[in-house]
Amino acid sequence: MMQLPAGHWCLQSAVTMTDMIKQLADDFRIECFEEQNDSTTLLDDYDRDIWQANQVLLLTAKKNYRLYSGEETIEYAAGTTQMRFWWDFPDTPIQHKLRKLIDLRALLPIAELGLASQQFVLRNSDAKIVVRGELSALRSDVHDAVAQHDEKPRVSTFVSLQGLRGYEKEFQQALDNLQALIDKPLPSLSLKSRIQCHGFDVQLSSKVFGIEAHEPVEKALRQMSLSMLNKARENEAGVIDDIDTEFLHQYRVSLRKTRSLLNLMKKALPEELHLRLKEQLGKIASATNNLRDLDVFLLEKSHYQSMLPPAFAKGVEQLFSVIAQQREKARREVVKTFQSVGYEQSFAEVLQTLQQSPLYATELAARPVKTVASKKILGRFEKIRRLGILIDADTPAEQVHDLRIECKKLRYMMEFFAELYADKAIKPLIKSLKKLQTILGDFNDYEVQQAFLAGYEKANRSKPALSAACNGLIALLYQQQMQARAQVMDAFAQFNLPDNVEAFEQLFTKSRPEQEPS
Amino acid sequence: MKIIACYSIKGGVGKTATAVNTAFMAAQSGMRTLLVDLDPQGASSFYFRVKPLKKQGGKRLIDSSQNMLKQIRASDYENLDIIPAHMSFRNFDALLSQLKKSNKRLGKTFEKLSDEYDLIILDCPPTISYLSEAVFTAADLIFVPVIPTTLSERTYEQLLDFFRKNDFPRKSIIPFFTMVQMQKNLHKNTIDGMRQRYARFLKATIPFSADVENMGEYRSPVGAFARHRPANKAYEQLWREMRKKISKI
Repeated sequence: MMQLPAGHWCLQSAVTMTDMIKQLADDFRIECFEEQNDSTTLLDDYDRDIWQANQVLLLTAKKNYRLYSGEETIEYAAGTTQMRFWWDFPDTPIQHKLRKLIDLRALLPIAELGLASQQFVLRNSDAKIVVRGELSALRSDVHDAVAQHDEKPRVSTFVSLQGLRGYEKEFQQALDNLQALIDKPLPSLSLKSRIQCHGFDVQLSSKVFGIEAHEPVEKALRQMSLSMLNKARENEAGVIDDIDTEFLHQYRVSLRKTRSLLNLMKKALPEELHLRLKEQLGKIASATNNLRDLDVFLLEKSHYQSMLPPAFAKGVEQLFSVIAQQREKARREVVKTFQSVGYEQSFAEVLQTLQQSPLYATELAARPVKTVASKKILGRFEKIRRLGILIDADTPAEQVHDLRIECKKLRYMMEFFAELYADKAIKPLIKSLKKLQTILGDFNDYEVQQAFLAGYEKANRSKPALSAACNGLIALLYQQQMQARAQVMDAFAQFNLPDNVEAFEQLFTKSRPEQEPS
Repeated sequence: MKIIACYSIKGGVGKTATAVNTAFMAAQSGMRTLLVDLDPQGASSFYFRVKPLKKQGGKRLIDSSQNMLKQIRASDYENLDIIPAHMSFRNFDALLSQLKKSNKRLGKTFEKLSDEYDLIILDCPPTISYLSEAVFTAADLIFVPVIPTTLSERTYEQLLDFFRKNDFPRKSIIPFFTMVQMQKNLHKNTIDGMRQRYARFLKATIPFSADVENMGEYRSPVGAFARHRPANKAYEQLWREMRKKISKI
C-alpha cells in the first residue's frame, strides 16, 4: 500500500479561511464546504481518567455525547437527561468504553469548548481535486482544575492536509504556500492534541511523596502523612456535593493509609504523640464508616438482583429501598460532621502536629527511611509466610483473617515506599501480593456482607419478602465465601514459590547495607 | 479482486459512459475500484478530470507493475482511482504482438494490485486487436453495450464469432442495450428480437439521454450531478445486475 502524504498543523494565530485562500490562490482553486459549529462541554471525572486514557468526551449543545478516541469519534445521541455515570448511558459502545474509563466516578463539566471545522478541497486548472483539507478552530472557557496559560489566545486554529494518490507534488506545493501561517506540527488531529496545543493540560496530582532513601524516618513519616491527609481533605467537597461514591472512598483510603503508616512506624514518634494522633484520626475516620458500608452495598445492587430468582425481586427491591433511605440519612450526618466546627478543629490540630519539625526523640526517628522500610517489609513478608504455611483446609476463619490483615499491612508498606525502589523490581512483587489479597479479600467481603444482611433480616422480620431476599442472598454469599476459602491455600502457595521469595529477599535485603549512612 | 471490461467493436455506443458511471457506483458501494482508461482518446480520464499521460511509453505500463502503481491517480471520489489514458497506448498492439504469451501479460500485471482493489474496470478502445485479445483474457466479465439497431446487432454477432473462432469463453460476454429510444419502432423490435435470440442480455436498458451527454460538460459521472434523473436510475439498475454477476465470479 502506498503511504500518502498527510499532516496536521497548529496555525500561528486566529487564521481564517480568507487568509488561507490568500496563500493558496496562486496555485489552486480552493473550494470550501459548509462550516460546522459546535458548542460543547468537555466532560471527565475527578481523576481525569478519560483524558489520561487519551480520549475526550464532549457533550454538545444538542445534548449529544461524543467520545473521541484518537482521531475517531464514537457518537451517541442522548436524551434530555444528564448522564452522570457510565450506567446512565444505554448499552452502546460509548457505555462500554466509559465503564472501563471512569468505573464508579461521575462525569463533571471541565471546560466549555467551541469547535468549528470547515473542510475544503484544492483543485488544479482542470478543476480536478488534488489536495483535501480541513481548517478547524477551538475556543475555550475554563470551568476549573484544567490549567490554562494566560498568554495563549482564546482561539486556536489548525489545518490538516491530505494528499491524493498521483498528486503528491500538489500536496507539497500547498504545504509550501501555507508555511507562512503554520506555527508547529501537531502529532495528530486527535481532539486531545488540539486541546493540548490550545494550551490546556490536566494537572495530575503526583503519585510519589518525594522522599529520599537517606531521609530520617520521622521526617519522611510527617511528610507522607501530611500529603495523604491533604489528599483526603480534597475529597470532602465531593462527598458534600454527593458527586460520586469514590470521593468518600478515596477520603477513607487516604485516612486509613495515614493511620496505617503512623502505626507501622510508630516507634519513630514519641509514644504520647503517636497515641494522640491515633485517637484523633480514628475518630475522624469512624464518622464515615456507616455511610461507606451502605455505599458498598448499594453499588452491588444489580449484582444482588441477578443472584436471586425473579420471585425474590420484590424483596430485593424493598431491601434496597430501605438501604437507600438509610444511606441518605447517613450521608446527611457525614455532611453535618464535615461542616462542623469540631471536625474542622480536630483535623486542623492533626495537620498542625504533623507540620512541626521532627523531634528525633526515639532511636528509630533519625535512621534512614529506606533501611527501615526494607527491614520492616521483609519482616512482614516473613511473618506472612509463617502464618500462611500453617493454613490448611480446616484452619478456622480467624487465622485466615489474620493472614489477610498482615497482607494488607505489607501491601501498604510496599506502596508507601515504592518510590525508593526500582519500578521493575518492586512492581512484580506488589502484583504477586495483589493476587493473594484478592482471594483473601473476597473471603472477607462475603463474610462482611452476610453479617450486614443478617442485621437487616433481623430488623425486618415483619416484611416477609425482604426477609426471604436477605436469607436467599446470605445463602448464596456463604457459598461464594466457601469457594474463595477453597482457593486460599493455592493462592498462598503461588505467593510462596521459591522465585517470589527470593525476589522479595533480594530486593529488601540487598538494598540495606549500601544505604547505611557513613 | 475482480476484473471487468467495457468493450465494443463499434465506437460511440456508450462504452465509456458505462465504464465511468459503473466505476463511480462501485466505488460508492464501498468497493475499492480502479478504472483503467485503455482508450487513447482518453474519454474516461477526461470525465474524471485526470490529465492523460504523456511521457512514458505503453511498454512500461505493461512491463512493470511498479511503474503502473505510479500512474494511478485518485479521482475526486472516495474508493475510486484511475489509470489515465496514454497517448501511446495505440502502440500497445505493436508491443503486445511482439511479446510472448502477450495475452496473459495484462492480467499478470493487474494481479499485483489485488491487495489494493476489489474491482478493476477496463475501458477499452473500439477495435479488435492484440490489446482487446489481452483484455478478453484478463477480464472475468466483458460488458458489451449494444445500440438496438440492425448495424449494432451485426457487430455483436461479429464479436461472438470472434470469440468462437479464437476459443475465448463466450460465457464472459454480457450484453446490454444502450442509447435506447423506445419511441422508435426499430429500437423496440430489435430489443425484442435480440432478447429472444440471446438470453444473456441484462434487463437494464440505458436510455438515450441528454444527462449522459452532459457528462462531458460537468466532467463527472451522471450520479454526481443528476442523481435522481432517469439515466442515472438506469445505470443504477445496470450496476445492480452487474454486481450480481461480478459476485458470482
